[in-house]
Amino acid sequence: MSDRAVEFTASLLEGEGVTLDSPKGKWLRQRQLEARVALKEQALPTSEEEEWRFTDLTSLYKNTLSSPDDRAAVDASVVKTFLIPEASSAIVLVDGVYSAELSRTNAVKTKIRVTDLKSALGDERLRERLERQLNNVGGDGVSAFCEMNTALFKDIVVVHADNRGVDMETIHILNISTGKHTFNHPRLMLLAEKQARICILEDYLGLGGFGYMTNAVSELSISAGAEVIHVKLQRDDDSAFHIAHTHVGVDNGAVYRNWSVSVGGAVSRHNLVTRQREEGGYIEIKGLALGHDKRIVDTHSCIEHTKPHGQSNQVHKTIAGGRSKIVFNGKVKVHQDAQQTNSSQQNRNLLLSARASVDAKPELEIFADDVKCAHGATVGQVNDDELFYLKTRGLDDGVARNLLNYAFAKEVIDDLPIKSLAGVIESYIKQQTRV
Amino acid sequence: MSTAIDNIVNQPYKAGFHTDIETDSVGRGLNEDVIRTISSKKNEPEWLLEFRLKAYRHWLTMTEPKWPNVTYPKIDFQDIIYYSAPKPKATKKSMDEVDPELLETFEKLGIPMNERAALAGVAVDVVFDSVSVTTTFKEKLAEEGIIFCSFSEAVKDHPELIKKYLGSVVPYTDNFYSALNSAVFTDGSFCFIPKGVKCPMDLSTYFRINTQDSGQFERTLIVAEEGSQVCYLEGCTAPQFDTNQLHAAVVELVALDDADIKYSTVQNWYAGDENGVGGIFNFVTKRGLCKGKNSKISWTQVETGSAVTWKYPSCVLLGDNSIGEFYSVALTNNMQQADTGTKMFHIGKNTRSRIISKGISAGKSNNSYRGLVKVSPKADGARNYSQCDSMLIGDLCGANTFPYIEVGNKSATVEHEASTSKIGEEQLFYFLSRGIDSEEAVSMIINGFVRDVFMHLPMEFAVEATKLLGLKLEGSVG
Repeated sequence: MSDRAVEFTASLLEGEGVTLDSPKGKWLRQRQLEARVALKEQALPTSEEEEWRFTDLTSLYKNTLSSPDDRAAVDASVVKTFLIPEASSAIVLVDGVYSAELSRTNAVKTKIRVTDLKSALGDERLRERLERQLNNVGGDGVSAFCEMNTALFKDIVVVHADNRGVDMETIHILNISTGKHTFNHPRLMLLAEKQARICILEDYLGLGGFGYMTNAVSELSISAGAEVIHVKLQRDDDSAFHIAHTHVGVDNGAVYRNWSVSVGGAVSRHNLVTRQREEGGYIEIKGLALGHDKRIVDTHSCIEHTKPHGQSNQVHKTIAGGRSKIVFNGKVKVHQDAQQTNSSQQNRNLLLSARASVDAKPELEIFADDVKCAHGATVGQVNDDELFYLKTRGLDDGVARNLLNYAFAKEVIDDLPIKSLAGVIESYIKQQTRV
Repeated sequence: MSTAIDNIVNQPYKAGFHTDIETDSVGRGLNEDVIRTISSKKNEPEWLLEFRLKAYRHWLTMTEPKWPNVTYPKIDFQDIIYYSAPKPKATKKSMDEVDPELLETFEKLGIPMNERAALAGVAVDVVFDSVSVTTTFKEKLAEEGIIFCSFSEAVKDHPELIKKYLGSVVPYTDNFYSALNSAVFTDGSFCFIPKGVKCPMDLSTYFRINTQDSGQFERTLIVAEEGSQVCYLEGCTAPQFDTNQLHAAVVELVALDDADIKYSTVQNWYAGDENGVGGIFNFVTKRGLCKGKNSKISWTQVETGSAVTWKYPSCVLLGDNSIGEFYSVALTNNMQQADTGTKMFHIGKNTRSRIISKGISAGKSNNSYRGLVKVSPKADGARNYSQCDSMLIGDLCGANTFPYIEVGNKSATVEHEASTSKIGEEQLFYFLSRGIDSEEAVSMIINGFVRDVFMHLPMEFAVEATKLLGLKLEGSVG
């Protein structure tokens, strides 16, 4: 444990968590206190720890970050340009705090509720679900950053879907950071009831913010037969630190489809932990990470099959240009009970420049014998023959390379259900893979 | 089907016998005096003692590695006898002078020692509890200028070579167990192939741990000069004991320009009983340095024994166009644990590496592949292909894959594939429908699964390895 990490941890803990005085929030304050205690035992990680071997956070720990108290005014018309037309509701958070004037929620025409923590605690059924699921959705161990979020979040965006038999609806949750050297700890809880169908877009971007840290935790509890599409788009400012944990629990026969796209930040880390909690269930994860300039993009995913007949499918593609560093650690764990699991994982990395690097580690941990599990990982460069072909058609070297890079990345978002977003991501790809 | 598999899994250890032979041991424990005693008993020169002491002092500052995916009781390093050697007798000129009981042990193991050795074309440097007893074929090899002798002899006769290469591939600072080995190693093999010589026969060493509680610290060094070629075989069996025995060997290979070293291992040490009592702790550091251009180092291993295995034969591809290969079959059953794999360091330009790993887990065992492919920024045109397949027999065992891929050069191409499967009911049905019984079918399927690796073993070893798997399969094959 380095002194710097310890000091940084202590400085963040000077901040406060939830300020609620209703007795219904007592358990929550208790959890926040427990997380605080845990952080005193174990500070934020350094690259000496196996889990953080390739991602050095020294550049984060040498900062002094503060709580974003003075909020800059955010221009509603600018925010509007980022909102997607497909969404029935858009929740906008500015530096981690819900903004009523920027958000728009459709009238309660369906059975999907999006609320803040206060009103969630007011609903007894929701409160009880929240208490049971918070920090308990699934996956191995809780990391120090996750504890940090638990100790310091000020609000929770609670999405409760109980809309069986109705068309899928899209909810856009937009996290805007405006602070300079500030931190915020956004928290999201999605509770999908039996056979509910919902699509959520978790979107992070910087608007005037600089050198800030976002430490997000999202938990998705998916009940039997439900279908959840979850798109996470990280387009934070190039100077920002983005740490995110996504914990997903999948019940009997439920479907979870995830798209995780990282196109921003100076240092970003996404821990995506999905756990099949009951029999059956389908987990699909598609990831895209673009390394640009000196960016570090780190993705750690874990798919855990604990019960029989589960299926999972993962594709993670990355492009490393400039002096960037791409890290991928993809674990698939099959427990002894999880017979008849069918799992496949693919990791493809494209290196564009001599100074970029890729560290990949696909892991399989199998304890059941009647399973089919396979993974593949490749690191390579643009194919010379393909390049030559395009050049014979009159494209110059730069355009041809850009086109090939774009084609490589595009596969991940080809079947993205939010069509307007696919266009947005495509423009990031074109822009960031230009040679 | 399940009985067939149970039979495979429940094979008792075939090489379990213990030879009573007087041994000359130092007391338990380790300190600088013990190291000085070992060194003086072996009449070592001052520089080697210095090397040992430096390693020992460094070892004191290190801690045991905790990252492997294995669990075992804490080793008390002060409760180990660091030196035991068969009682010295006058130097032997022929086989007749060797202790007959010793010869009987070799007989039981079926080592081609006398004329059989000549017929088999194998020169055997027999290591019996740390000290070389006899070396055959030395004269024939000497004609070609090849040096193949025990490590102690090499220290006496070729100190300049040992001084130059000892610790050049695995420095004593490398890891906890290599530091320990550097401090207390008792003997091992040394092999030197001079420029342009193609070794006329496969070189082979049989290791055998004999004295109860004696840690075995072997040291092997192979140097292949420009344009030379050698094929080296190492095989291990050990008698049955209840106390865990520590084995921390170090193997160093150096290949100069255009040299080619092929190193094959069959490891069948005592693995403990079905409850995990006893068995060898096998913590080995093996590394080859492709120092020259166009050099090639190839590791082939068949790991079937030991209670705990911790072993990563590696290749440092320093010379341009050098090639590293790793072919491995690791079979674990009962309570065995294996964390094994390889490391390929691509440093030179146009270096190539290939990894084929086949893991078979049965019983309650745990079998992990852990590998690293590292392409440094200057390794233009590096190429790697890795394939790791696991087979699970029964649902109480585990198979894990931890491949690390670190690429820092854009012209590199690295591919990794892994799969996990079991013996399918459909596959078995296919065999049965063709009149092959289930036991034979299982054996054929497993032999087919490991074929990609076995075809890289030298002839003599391929037979032995197939026999070894057959031994484990006996009872199910009929």
